[in-house]
Amino acid sequence: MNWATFFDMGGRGFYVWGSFGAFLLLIVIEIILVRLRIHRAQVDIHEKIIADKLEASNT
Amino acid sequence: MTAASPNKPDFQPESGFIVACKRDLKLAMRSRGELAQAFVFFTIVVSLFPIAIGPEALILKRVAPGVLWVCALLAVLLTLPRIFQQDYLDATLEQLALSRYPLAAIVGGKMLAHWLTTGLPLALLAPVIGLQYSLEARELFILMLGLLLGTPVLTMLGAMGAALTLGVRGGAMLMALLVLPLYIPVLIFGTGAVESSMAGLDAAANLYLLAALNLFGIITIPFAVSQAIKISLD
Amino acid sequence: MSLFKYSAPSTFYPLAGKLVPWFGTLAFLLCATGLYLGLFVAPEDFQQGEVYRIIFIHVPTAWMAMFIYLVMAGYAVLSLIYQTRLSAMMIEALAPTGALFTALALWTGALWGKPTWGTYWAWDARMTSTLILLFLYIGYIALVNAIEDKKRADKAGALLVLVGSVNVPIIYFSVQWWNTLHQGASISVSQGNKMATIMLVSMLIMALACWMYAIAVSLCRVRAIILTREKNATWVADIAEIKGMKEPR
Repeated sequence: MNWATFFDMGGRGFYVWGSFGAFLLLIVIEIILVRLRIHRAQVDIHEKIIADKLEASNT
Repeated sequence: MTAASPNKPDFQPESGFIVACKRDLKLAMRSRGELAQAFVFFTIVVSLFPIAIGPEALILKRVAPGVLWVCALLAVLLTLPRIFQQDYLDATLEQLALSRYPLAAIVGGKMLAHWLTTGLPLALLAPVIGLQYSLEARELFILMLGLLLGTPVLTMLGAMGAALTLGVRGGAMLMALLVLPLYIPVLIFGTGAVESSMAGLDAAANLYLLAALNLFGIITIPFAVSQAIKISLD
Repeated sequence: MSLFKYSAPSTFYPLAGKLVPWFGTLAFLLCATGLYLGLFVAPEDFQQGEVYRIIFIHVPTAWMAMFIYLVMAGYAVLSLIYQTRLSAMMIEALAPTGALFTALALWTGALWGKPTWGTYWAWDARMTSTLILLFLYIGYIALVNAIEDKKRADKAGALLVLVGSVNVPIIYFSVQWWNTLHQGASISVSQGNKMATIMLVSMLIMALACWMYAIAVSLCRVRAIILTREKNATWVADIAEIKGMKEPR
């Protein structure tokens, strides 16, 4: 398996890897962003629970 | 047999349609200056292109259908907030929605009034302005026919966008974003008609397609827009 | 009967959480298989050489772009008829992924076009329709983000998606029409003659992979949406990840 030839893709390596690369990159970014979104939502709720508890204990 | 008495309220949807249309026409006539702005805009923007592209008649002739149609689209787009905005702001729309008239009929009347004050004059104006682009009389006529058939669809689709974005911050730009992709078929058939005519071919097919869009729109859009208004009013 | 139980966000949240790893793993395995077949097993194309391999990304993403919008339309019908909030949330969860696939389809289409037909953008019927589809996705996302009242945003978004989906065949037809009028570059995906079976299989596997991925990501995203909306509900306090969070000192 000649990796150099494979990577070159008949001289069109830029286009092929530009496509496959964009595919993988954008998917990874989307996954990261979604997980961040869930985490942020959970942190929000957690902070709200704490704030509520504080309020309840103060009144 | 009872004859309809002038004092007895009429529950026919047709009268809701007529009432709304007449009212909007009356309101439009009161602000004629505002109406005229759309046509001035159209004229100015159409003139921008030869200034930008250069006066070569051949090139201008080639781009004329597209430029004239896009400018017409944009001019109509600018007038769309007028359909519901004022009524929404002073709560008239809410009352209309709760009134005895079917909201779809009222919407239909408003759309007709809008077209009569925007699309129709634009369609009559465009051939005159189109002379700047060295188009032949026959081509200008097809342009006018296409606009006559296409602008009602633009009004209807625009009403949809306006109804969805009522009272939303930045609503006008958002409405344009929503509505312009939907305008594309009208643009294609309208310009296609003129270009067919320029190529010596029959423009009928494109015009029939515009008529078909019209028919389909008249049947489906007023109801959809009334739903959108109800959603926005909640 | 039991299915309706899951239309409540509080019961759907844990269900979705359990489903995500399954679909995610499935997507990963299918993608790995598809990429392997497409890059190493499928032979060189006699016309286009190696660069044709882009279709293993381009075609599946284009299919998914269309498919996701149809699924959104389906949920739109559900949400408008049955008024279930979860259906509307699914539309919101699917839209970014749909837009992503559309953008990828356009990007890979451009990268395929340059070496094959000499230009990055050829204004053929399919690419133009895909571009318009991207505008429809962006329009939906913009509308839902602009309306502050969630209930109104849900309904307006659903109606917009419905209107959009009715327009999609009209737009597609008109763009085809436009393309024949202008004798644009006659571009066809099928390599002239019949495609080798292995190429078709790789494309289908990649399409399945994208589909499983889309399900996984949108289920994930809808969980985030549920949490944001149900912030003040009582059931969220019992979520394991939140219970496990440390109190700040």
